[in-house]
Amino acid sequence: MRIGIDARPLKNQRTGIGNYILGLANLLPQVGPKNDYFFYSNRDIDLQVSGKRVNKQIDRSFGWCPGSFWLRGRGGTLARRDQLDAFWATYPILPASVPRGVIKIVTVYDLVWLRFPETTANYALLVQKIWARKAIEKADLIVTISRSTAEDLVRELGVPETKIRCVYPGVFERYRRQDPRQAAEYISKKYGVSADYMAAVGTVEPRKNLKLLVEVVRILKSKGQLKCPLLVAGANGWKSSPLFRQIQAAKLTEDEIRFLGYLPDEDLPFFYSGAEVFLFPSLYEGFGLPPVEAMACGTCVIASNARCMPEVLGDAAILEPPDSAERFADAVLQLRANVNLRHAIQAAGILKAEEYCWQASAKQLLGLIDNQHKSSERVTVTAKGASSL
Amino acid sequence: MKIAIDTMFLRQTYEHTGTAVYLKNMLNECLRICETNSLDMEFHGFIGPQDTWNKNGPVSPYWRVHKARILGRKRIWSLGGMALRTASVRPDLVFLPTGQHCVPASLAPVVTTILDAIPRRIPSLVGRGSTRLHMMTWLNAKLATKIITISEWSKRDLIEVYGLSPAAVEVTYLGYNKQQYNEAPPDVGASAALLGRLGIRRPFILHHGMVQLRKNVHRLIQAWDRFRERHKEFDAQLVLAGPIGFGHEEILSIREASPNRDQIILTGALPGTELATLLKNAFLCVIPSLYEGFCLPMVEAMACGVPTVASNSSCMPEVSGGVLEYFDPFSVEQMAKTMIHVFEDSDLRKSLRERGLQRAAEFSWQRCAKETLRVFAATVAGEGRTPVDRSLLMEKSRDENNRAIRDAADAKFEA
Repeated sequence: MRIGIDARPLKNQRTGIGNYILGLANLLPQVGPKNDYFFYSNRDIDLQVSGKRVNKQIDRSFGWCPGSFWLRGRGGTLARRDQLDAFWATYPILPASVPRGVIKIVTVYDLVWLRFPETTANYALLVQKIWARKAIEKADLIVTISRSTAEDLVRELGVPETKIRCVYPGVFERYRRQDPRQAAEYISKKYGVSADYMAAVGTVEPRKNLKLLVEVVRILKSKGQLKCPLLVAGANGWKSSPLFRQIQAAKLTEDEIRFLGYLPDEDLPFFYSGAEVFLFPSLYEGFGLPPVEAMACGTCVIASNARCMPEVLGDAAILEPPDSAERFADAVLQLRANVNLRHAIQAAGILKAEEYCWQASAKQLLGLIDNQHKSSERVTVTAKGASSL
Repeated sequence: MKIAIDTMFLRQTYEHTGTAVYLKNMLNECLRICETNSLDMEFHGFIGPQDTWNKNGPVSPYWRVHKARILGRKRIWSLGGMALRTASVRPDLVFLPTGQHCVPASLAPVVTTILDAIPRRIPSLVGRGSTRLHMMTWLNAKLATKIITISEWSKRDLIEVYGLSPAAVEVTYLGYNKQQYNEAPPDVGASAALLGRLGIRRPFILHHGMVQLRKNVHRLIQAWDRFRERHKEFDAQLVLAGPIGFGHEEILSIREASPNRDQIILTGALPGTELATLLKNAFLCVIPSLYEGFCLPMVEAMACGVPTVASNSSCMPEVSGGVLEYFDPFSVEQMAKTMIHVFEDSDLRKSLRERGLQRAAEFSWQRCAKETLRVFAATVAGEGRTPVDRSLLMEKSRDENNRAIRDAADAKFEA
């Protein structure tokens, strides 16, 4: 089988989507050695997998075009050229003209553009509003990253349940429990911060609900319970100026809340391991990998109980409503005061995180594509039989 | 985090009971997981004055054993002795591997395993059981913070029978002995010796598990008669491997009445290794049971790569993941039909074998232990979250303040 993959999210400084594709793409040739894989992009990508059957196709025509437009326009031509059997749209956009007979698999991460449009960057919102619905309609198979997203698809867009499958992301090998003290010292030395800190990870954008964290820090400080700063790792995204205004208004200093910018992959395990607690107050997530990675590193997680977080984290984290800074602050203090609670949450987290495994997910995804391929072949065979009659 | 475990079932006398097998395997895996992940947990067990299991019991830095003189007296241990002894350890959690043994103390949250609600569900098929055990199980179900059971089906049963909240019941699937039950071909010499001793000729159709009414062996014998009517040329035997149990008189009389009684062989109880050898030599395995909590025999058969057909009642389709051929256990007709169907279709047998192997590989004691540990951790965490010291926080309305005071008072009262 020849499988084409939209590899544009594999750029440098990957975020959630890029990591999802990378995690699966790395394992595809190993799990399904009989398939040919074509990774398409219009820019350079950081593909960490190689092999005879792995083809990296950088197509620079229409270089001036934004990626989504490029895919819409060029995707069909490329699919025809490489005689694909299946096309995996890793971002919910399909090429305008996919040749007939090519199986269309579309991954839908979340329905932010439908449910929380105000938190999305304008361009991404526009692109998804125009094309995502169409892609979801045309897809032969929709892959979501959580059951919550699948439910949303059924409820909000009326997609038939039989078309949707859920393939969870995994946790990369590097997220293992490190010695917390050494890890904290490494981070402290490298970034010039205190070796005692609370951690948060996420692009600085409204959906990640960082304003709640500012509020948490303010509450803790006003009670004299702020023992260590809050460090936020993540690139500056969009619509973030109200957040910085809020920090100024609350008169918080760099020693109390600090933004470290994008952290490279190799530092993240140390960043998680060294933290006193990991906070994740997001308003909406398709899956929410950072808290799972933090759990794998043995750090206690306090997360929001918004969509999909209860499904993904289960009872292995403390879940609080994303609009209550008080409850978050409360949980931080509880964790600090109660050793047993800390150990229990930690143990539950480590065990829960083990459930998410790239190997199993890659197998599952290939199995789905395979099944779809077989059933569509059967259909064409019977159609041919019918026409010859 | 200290976890105290009722280790009465590790005593030599209970070595072969299901609970002992469950506790021993699960505990060993729990300790191994704690070691590999260096979790902050500590397991405490209790040993009576005459017991010897600590010599061949688990060895691990996460495992502590305490002497308990009252463990020698089973009744006293069950009725509060354990609670007293446990209190001195100051555990954060108490684990009872069976719901029949100890009144939980209010000193720590209790997690109890209740395998199934079979005695309450189908008393006519398993005998009434003692009132004491019923009372104990009921009490345990009511008092435990969390209850562990072994399939979604059992969970539903427990919720209905004991009126529990769904959130209080967790499912952890069991594991099986992979050293014995695996797809490796059987040892030729051992097979010949065993089959010769039991008077079995190949090919044979196997049922393993206790010969009792609940296992529906009587209808299996009738289905076997129908099968023979249809395929006289297939010179095979029906082997019933397992000890005899409740209602065996009826089963044995049906066997006597059968025209094929010479082809029906009762082996009696067999040790695990021999059972595994028998399974690996079987042509087909039939699981006609009327009611099960997990049905380990079915998983073992699947793990040995024997084509398996099973009844569609209770947990069977759930545990086998819907990959087998199923029949209505109350219909002799259907059971015979399914057996004939599988007998006639060799492709189907092959695919049954493969799908069974794949599904069985999903179960292991390690998985069971991991899920159990998660339940432990979540229970302790849930318990640790209740007393909220809200006075540390500012900015709250008077109502909230009052509630906080009330909560704190409640917490004290409960403690």
